[in-house]
Amino acid sequence: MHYIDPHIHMVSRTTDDYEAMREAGIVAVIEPAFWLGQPRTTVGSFKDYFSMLVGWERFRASQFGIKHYCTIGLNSKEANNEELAEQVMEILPQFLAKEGVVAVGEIGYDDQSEAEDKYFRLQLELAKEFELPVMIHTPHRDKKNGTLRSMDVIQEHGIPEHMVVIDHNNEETVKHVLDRGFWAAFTIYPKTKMSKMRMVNIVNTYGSEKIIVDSSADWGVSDPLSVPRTAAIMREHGIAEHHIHLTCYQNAITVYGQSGQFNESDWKQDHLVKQADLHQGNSVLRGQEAKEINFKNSIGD
Amino acid sequence: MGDRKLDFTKCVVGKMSPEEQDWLNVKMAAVKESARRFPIFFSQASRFIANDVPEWNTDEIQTLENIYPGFGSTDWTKRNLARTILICALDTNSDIQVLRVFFEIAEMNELVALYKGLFLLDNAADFSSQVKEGVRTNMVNVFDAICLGNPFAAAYLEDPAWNQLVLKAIFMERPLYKIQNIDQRRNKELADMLQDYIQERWAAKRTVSPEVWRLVHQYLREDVKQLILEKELEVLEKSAIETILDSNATVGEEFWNNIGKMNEINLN
Ligand SMILES: [Zn+2]
Repeated sequence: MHYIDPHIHMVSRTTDDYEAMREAGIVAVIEPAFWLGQPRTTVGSFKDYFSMLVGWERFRASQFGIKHYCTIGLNSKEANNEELAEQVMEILPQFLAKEGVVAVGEIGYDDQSEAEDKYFRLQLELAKEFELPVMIHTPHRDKKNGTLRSMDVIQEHGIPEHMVVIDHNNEETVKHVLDRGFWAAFTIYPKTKMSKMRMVNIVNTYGSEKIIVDSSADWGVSDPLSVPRTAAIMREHGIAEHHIHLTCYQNAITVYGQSGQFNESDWKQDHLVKQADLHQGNSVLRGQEAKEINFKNSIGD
Repeated sequence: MGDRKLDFTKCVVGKMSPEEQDWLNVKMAAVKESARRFPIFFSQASRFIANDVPEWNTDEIQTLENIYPGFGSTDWTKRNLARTILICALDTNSDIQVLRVFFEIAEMNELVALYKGLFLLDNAADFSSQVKEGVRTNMVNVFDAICLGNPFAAAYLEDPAWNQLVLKAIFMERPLYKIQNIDQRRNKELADMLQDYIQERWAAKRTVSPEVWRLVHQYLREDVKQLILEKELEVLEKSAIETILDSNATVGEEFWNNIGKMNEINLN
């Protein structure tokens, strides 16, 4: 069984995570550009971060048999530093044009401030210009209103709903999101937000047609195996295989594939990863013997 | 445009589909006009140019080898070729500025194309510090782009940087026989460093690539000779070492290339 985690911040994760993820069947990940916990103070930090997403992290993932894609955007928290935000807006287009950049994101609201609104709208226009899908981060505080407002603004800018994933949904928001025709993603954290059992209920209620499961694993307490683990729990509770396939794999391809940058054939070709050349502190394997990994498609739990 | 850039572009454009040629011609013209949109065009090659490797006949390969020694020893995808043509379209007076900025934000595959293409530029020598920086990468495909089948390093890096490149290639287990002009750039300092490395590896009961002896040839030290006599050698290693121990032996490129190829087969 193959899985995709369409929202995970791998720069914060270890090689143990990569190994476990591939072992559990994850073949591709999407890493949205986001906040690093520590606010950035210069545009150069953003430039290097975006470059890392399309450079070193992409390479690092490849060493473990995982295809790495990303989304590029100015996150809502840092949009509040307007002087910096202006400079970040200037460098976004050249990153949005790059190979393997599958959406503008994650963007949206945090405090729902004026500055956040301004840069949210500007980036929606960029998504139109580059014909890319959009990944929306919905706020933790005042979530319902923030989610509704995000959808209003997206529709105001004339972006078709099938191009937009509204992420971090809960039971309060999902119906609105689906009724308005958007994709609804759910972040499964180990304890907070959505638990795996709640996901079973969501699928039982709303089906799988426009639902996406992700881990949003980052530098906080989170689980990079959330997607395969949630799939296992769904399976245990009698959810049909095609629902699992859609929510934990196929829907991500359908929506982000609209970028032309996210194709199943990219990772279907071979699963043989040559970890040659990784000796002596010169690479990710640091002193370990290079090995060839022929990955079996097993599920973690 | 310099001759080298022009000749390369001419050879390569014909391998693109009509749609790809249209796209490239428009972008080349635009880049010649102004480099402002160069980064976007260079990136967007991933959307408009296929990534397969074109077939070449012997004449074409010969022509390309004359323009770019080593061309035939690695795979050039159409996308890498197209990106190289775009670099060639840059004005020589401003290319260093444009590319220096772009190198900082290039993604993995773009870096590969950039490093492969630099040799063709009229002012290629101006990019030697960029290539030295590139040698520090840990992305194997980017390192390969600099190191294998690319004439830039041998042409423009001075000995210390060249030696670093070769040492790193050995640590990363890259096929040394694909390094362009590896024999011409042999030097005593490199041979010494490698013999220290051999001693260190053998002391730790680890092996060294049989290709290493290619660079030790004619610089073999007495202390290492002594070690060799006490050591049980593997087949390829034995063949390489016996050759350099025999001062009468004339060893050509072909011998070492075969050692390299056999070693590559053993590794895979
Ligand atoms: Zn996130």
